[in-house]
Amino acid sequence: MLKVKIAQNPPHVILALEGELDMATGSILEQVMEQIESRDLVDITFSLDGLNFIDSTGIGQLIGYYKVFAKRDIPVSIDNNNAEIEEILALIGVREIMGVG
Amino acid sequence: MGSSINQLTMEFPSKAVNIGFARTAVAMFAAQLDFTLDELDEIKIAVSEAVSNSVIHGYKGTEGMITIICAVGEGALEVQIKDEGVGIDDIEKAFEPAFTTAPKERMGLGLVFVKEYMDELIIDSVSGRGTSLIMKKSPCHNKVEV
Ligand SMILES: Nc1ncnc2c1ncn2[C@@H]1O[C@H](COP(=O)(O)OP(=O)(O)OP(=O)(O)O)[C@@H](O)[C@H]1O
Ligand SMILES: [Mg+2]
Repeated sequence: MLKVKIAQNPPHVILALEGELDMATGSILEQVMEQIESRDLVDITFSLDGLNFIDSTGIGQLIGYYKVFAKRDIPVSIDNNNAEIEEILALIGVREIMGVG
Repeated sequence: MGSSINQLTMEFPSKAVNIGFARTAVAMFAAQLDFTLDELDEIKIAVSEAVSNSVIHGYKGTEGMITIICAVGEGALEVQIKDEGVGIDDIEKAFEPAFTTAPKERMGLGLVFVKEYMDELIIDSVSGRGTSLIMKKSPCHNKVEV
């Protein structure tokens, strides 16, 4: 299960993810991204504090947004204070790619 | 071993909705050994990666059956996850970080996770016939430092 809350509206978007981000729930996040992508955006932050599970599919999805929005010069970053999630991100080196929000 | 072995078999179609159930069930089964919560999370990720691979690569979005057999005995967990999908042409390549046969939004990291989080990983795959992953893990305090 995944819940995506728009914690802050455009142009400085913050999306708070709660629950699990994997192959089954990715479409829920994708729907929200489709809602906001046509808006005037300055930056996008994913807050992962409420996330209790992520795997390579979930990480791939977040990095995918980073790459897509980089083409529009819109930085996408991750804000996370959740130790377990941080450990997984560190294993992949996600921080080196996306930076800290 | 003998009577000390406990076993669980699950079989389900390759639908994405089953992935969460599968990893949670395996972690709950594993909890009869004294894994830490962190270790149970690692088991969940490994199972999620293997099942996702069967759905995405093995069956490529078409429907087929995925089987998971878990066993505990002698202080270790063994999980076998298998599909009857397309199989892997080059297993050595599949293990390489960033190797993927599905370019869009795939980073080729799933098997890297499995290797990192489980003690042992054996892949057996026949092109056109399917793939089987066997992974083993024991609670860290049972491990002898060498
Ligand atoms: N069950 C399977 N059936 C067929 N091919 C597989 C299977 N599991 C893995 N593979 C092959 O091994 C490659 C590497 O798998 P791995 O999980 O490491 O990366 P990925 O799935 O491509 O990307 P990610 O897991 O980061 O989303 C896959 O791209 C695929 O070619
Ligand atoms: Mg994978």
